[in-house]
Amino acid sequence: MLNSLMIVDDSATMRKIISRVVEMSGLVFGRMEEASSGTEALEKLQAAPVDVVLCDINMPEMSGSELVRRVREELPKCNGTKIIMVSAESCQDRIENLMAAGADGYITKPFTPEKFQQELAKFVTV
Amino acid sequence: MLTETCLKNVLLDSVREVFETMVFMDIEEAAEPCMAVNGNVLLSSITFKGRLEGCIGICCTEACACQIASNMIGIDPDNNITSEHIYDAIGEIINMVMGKVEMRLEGDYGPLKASIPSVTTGLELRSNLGNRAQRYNVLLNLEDMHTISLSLICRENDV
Repeated sequence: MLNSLMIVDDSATMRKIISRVVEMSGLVFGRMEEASSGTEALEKLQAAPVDVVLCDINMPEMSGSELVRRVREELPKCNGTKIIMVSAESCQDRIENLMAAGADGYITKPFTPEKFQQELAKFVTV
Repeated sequence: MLTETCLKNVLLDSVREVFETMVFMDIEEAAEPCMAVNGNVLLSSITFKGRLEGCIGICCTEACACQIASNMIGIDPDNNITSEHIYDAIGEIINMVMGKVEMRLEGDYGPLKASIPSVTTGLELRSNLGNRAQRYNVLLNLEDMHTISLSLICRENDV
């Protein structure tokens, strides 16, 4: 069975760019969802969990770190969902805090298809 | 304070990495600008705070920003590119440049807290950092098709 993926970013352009680079990575997903906010992501995940979430950090209304916390606390059906943060921030302390809050991986922008392949292959059936 | 040469190299290395990875275009310091940066120009900027504070900006023509957005998204610049794509793409460029600058300066200045990027029309990055601030400007050629103006204004803090 093919894996499912959700891209969470408030920028529609960034969602397109990430989606393109995921396709370029050669990984195939049976279902690709998008959410433009943490709230929309929570609603969609509640309705239908995915295998992997690619999540921005700096979003209005709900930050990526808040979304990670809420998925882990409020959505037990997403226990198996891996959350990979995608951000230009590269401060090691912030990355460690996100991992401690429940994120499973971190991809720093700018990114290459190879970087996505490397990070996603840890969690999906290739 | 890091020397002007060191800060300039940090900026240039960061910009090169972002453009080569995400825009798939070479960018180099311009001995001679290949195009004038005037007319309809966009300024994408971001501010940062910490032991070093200031702002970074890139200024380019709308045509250049359209080419950048087109390459990043992978769609034809003559069709389907919207203003939203263009503004988002060059906002994201300065956001990534900031991330790379922070990574390269973290050893000297510790973590920096960056703002959300903003994109406006305009030509010159200005700040209210006062007389202690240093300013660096450099012109870059994007594959001899477009010229981009890159600016950094910064000052050290005792924080």
